Amino acid sequence: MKNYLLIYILIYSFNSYSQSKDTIYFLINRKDSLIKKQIATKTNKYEGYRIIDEKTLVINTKRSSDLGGNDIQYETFDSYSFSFNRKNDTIISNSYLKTLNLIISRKKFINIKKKGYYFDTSGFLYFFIEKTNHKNKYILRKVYPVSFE
Amino acid sequence: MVDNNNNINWILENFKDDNNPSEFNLKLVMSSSLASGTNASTVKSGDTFTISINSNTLLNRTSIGLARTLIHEGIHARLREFASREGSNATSFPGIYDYFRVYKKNWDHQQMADFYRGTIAKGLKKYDNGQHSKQFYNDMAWEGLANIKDANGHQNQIYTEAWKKLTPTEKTRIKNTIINHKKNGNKTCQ
Repeated sequence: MKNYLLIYILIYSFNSYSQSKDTIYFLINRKDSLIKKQIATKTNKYEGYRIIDEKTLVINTKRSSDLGGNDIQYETFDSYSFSFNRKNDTIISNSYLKTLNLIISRKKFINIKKKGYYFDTSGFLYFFIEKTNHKNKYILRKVYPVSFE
Repeated sequence: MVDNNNNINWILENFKDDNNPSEFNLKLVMSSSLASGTNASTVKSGDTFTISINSNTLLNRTSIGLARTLIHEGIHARLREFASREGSNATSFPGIYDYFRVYKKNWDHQQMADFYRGTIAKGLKKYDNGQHSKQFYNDMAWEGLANIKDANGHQNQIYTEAWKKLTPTEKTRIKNTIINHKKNGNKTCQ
């Protein structure tokens, strides 16, 4: 019995060690319409996600079409942007996925921020995970928080 | 660009027009209503430009990062002040008018990425008393000028033309410099 307990503790410790507390894994729900994905086009190579927080209102600014015109400010939902480079994607199996400490809901992901950790300044590493068309295969994608000025 | 006490007074200096009174006011305010991912914004309303700094993220920002944001927004205000002056036209400010013709509402980010990164880097070096390498300040100047919100609304975000010209190695180095500094940089303002 003691041996089994020791093996369990060792496996648990190894798993916790390999998954740093500074790394966030977020499983993307394709059906969630408040997770927007931007894919590269011929003229615009930027790729990224925008996670919308419908519970928080912020002020956004729209530029005037006139060069010297006044800006327009309006209320909108807060959102968090993450860029990625798909060349750095890796494919993982379902069994590997199960070893990760996953966040599976957008609300829980947003809660990282509500705990006082701003995505951009927290120092966390972020990985988004997407299901592929192949059974039991997932894309593990390193993403970077984006800030604007 | 900065005075002996490291105050970034140059932003205010830029609103002087020789001995003539400026046509515009410049306000610096803290705001708790900016989007989480927005460090700061510069908004024109009538004869006033308001630079709003995101107060929610302030405690997590580094001293150099904040200085860079102020310089970045100061350049926005300065460029837009040129463009908004009474009688401003393509003859008085040909560069600005040409960028507006090509990039429409993204004109000032594109112009800043092309021509003002050096100004930002120089200001940062002065503010920081040159404690880092020239490369570090040049890399830091890229934040907010690599990918930008598409103000024209065609896409959510676009890369600036200046960023597109960099090699993959340069892009990786710049991203790493910015990420490492956010994680390990000094968060106590001078």
